[in-house]
Amino acid sequence: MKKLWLSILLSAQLLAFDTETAAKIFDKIFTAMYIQKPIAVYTVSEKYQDVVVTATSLQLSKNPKLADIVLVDSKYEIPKEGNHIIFTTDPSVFKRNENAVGAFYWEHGRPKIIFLQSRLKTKGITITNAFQRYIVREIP
Amino acid sequence: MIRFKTIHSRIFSILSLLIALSAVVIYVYMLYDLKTKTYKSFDSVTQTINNALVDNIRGYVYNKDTDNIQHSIDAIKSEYIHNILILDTNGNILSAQKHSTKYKRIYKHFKALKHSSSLSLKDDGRYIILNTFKLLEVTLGYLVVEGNTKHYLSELNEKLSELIILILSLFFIAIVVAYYLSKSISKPLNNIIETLYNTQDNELLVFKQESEEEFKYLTKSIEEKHNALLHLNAQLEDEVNIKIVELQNLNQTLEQKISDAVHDAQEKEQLFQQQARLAQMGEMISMIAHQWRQPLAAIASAMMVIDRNIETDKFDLDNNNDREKFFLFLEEKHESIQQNIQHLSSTTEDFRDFFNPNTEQDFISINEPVEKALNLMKTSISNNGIKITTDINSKKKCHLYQNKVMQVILNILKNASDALIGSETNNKYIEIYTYDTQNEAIVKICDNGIGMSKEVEEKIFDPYFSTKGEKIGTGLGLYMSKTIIEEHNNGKIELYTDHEKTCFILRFPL
Repeated sequence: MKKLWLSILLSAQLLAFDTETAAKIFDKIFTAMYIQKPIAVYTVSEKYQDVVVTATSLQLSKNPKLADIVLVDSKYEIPKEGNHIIFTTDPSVFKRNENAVGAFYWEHGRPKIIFLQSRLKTKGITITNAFQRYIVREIP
Repeated sequence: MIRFKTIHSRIFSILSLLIALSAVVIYVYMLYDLKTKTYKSFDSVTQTINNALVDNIRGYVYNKDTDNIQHSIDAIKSEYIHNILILDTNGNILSAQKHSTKYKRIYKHFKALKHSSSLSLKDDGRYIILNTFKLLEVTLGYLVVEGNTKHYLSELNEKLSELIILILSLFFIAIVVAYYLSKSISKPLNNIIETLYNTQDNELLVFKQESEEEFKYLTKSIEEKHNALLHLNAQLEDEVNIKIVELQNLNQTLEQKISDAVHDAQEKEQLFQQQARLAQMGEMISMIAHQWRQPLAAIASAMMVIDRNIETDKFDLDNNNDREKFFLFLEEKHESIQQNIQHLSSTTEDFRDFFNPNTEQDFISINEPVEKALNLMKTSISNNGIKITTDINSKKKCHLYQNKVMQVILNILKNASDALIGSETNNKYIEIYTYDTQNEAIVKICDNGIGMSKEVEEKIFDPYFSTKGEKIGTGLGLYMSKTIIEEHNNGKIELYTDHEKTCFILRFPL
């Protein structure tokens, strides 16, 4: 009976993505890239749109050209035109797309926040001191 | 208090006590150390698992990947962990160890810890740690780990049991070692005692060779002293034997000397007795003369009256009447002369009895020698104006040499008479009492003469001591009296004097 109760409780929790927690994390990452606020973020992912809306320093942009950062969850969400500053949650996008300056994803339960130094330089982005430890010279 | 009979038991007891104290100290220290180390180990394992989970499943918690979370926590097989609970930022349970059914209880603790400054709850019965999954200082979820305190306590008890067994084993071994150690320490002493016990006084002392220097020195010293004493003893024995021979020779000489001295003393005493007897004989003759004077005068007077009546023809013998009167007169005088002769004869008998040596004691009343002595002295004393009072009350008989006792009484009466003659007392008297007590027959003779000083009193029974002057007294009378009463008759002679009278008390055992 107890196990059944636990299972029901756990299933209910699984349905909810923790938007608030994600918003806080992306808020911190993006504010490390840009000093001015609010930071305009473009994303086609509904899940991340909620995140951007929830984050205090971010503002949802409807046009990728006007956005400071394009947040993509997969290669299919990359805008077809334009030379955007992309931040991705997909490691393969970060690997292959030259516009992807940084990524945040989970590898076997461990967090990975990466900024590629050359791409940041190309895009003219300076990362705050607190995030310098996440900058890498090469893609791992 | 414990009394130790042997050095062995004393050393063993002291060592045992020290071992027991050491065991207690070691046990207390090791107990503390064991508890600390076991707890550290438990704490370390729990913290390591806790930190590993925090580092490695943050992503699963962020993504609420319950399968991986469950898989990760189920992989933890440590017996130190009793329960693991993973919660999201809102405190909803994401996962728990499958075999655990007690997460509700842990959940309560999670709530309490979340709102308190302390992130852990550690006491004897509980061990719960709250940790937070974080990324960029953003809380992703919570981890609650409950340590298995029962396992920790069980392990601790197991280690304690092992420790007790170890301590007891060491204690037992130490006691055995202490026993043999104390025995080995006391063994040389026991060897010495045994050798001393088994060696006769006249034998040479040889100890077993001891390995320790102290005992070597001790045994050598004892051997030397004993053997020196043995030698000295032999010398002393020789000297003693020589002295014994000398003493035996001396003893033989001494016996002869003593025998001579005793013989001299006996001769001296005989001389004393002879002298005293002669003196008393002189006194007796004087008294007999006194005694005889009156009857002789009476006889002479009777004879003279008869002669005068015959010469003067007072009676006409031709006349029947006068002749009858003459016969009556003669008969009367004859009877008077007869009586006086009888008196003279009686005095002579007393005198003869007195000088008869009697070798055997008589069983008589003390009154007899008193009365005989008084008969001899009575006339002499009375002629000197001295009143004699008697109170003869002794009823019992005792064993005594009658003449010797009489000699003593005569001597005392003579002394009393002399003292009274020389005194200026008006009412001169001599009192004579005889009476009995329970064990004694007593003669008491008192006079109211000149008395005697303290110095005279102390010397009165000494030989050759006299207050009468050399011409009259020999100084042997009272000395001999004392000897006669105390040595010959087992009695006592005492002197009592005060300002009024002087008394001699003679006591004879019944």
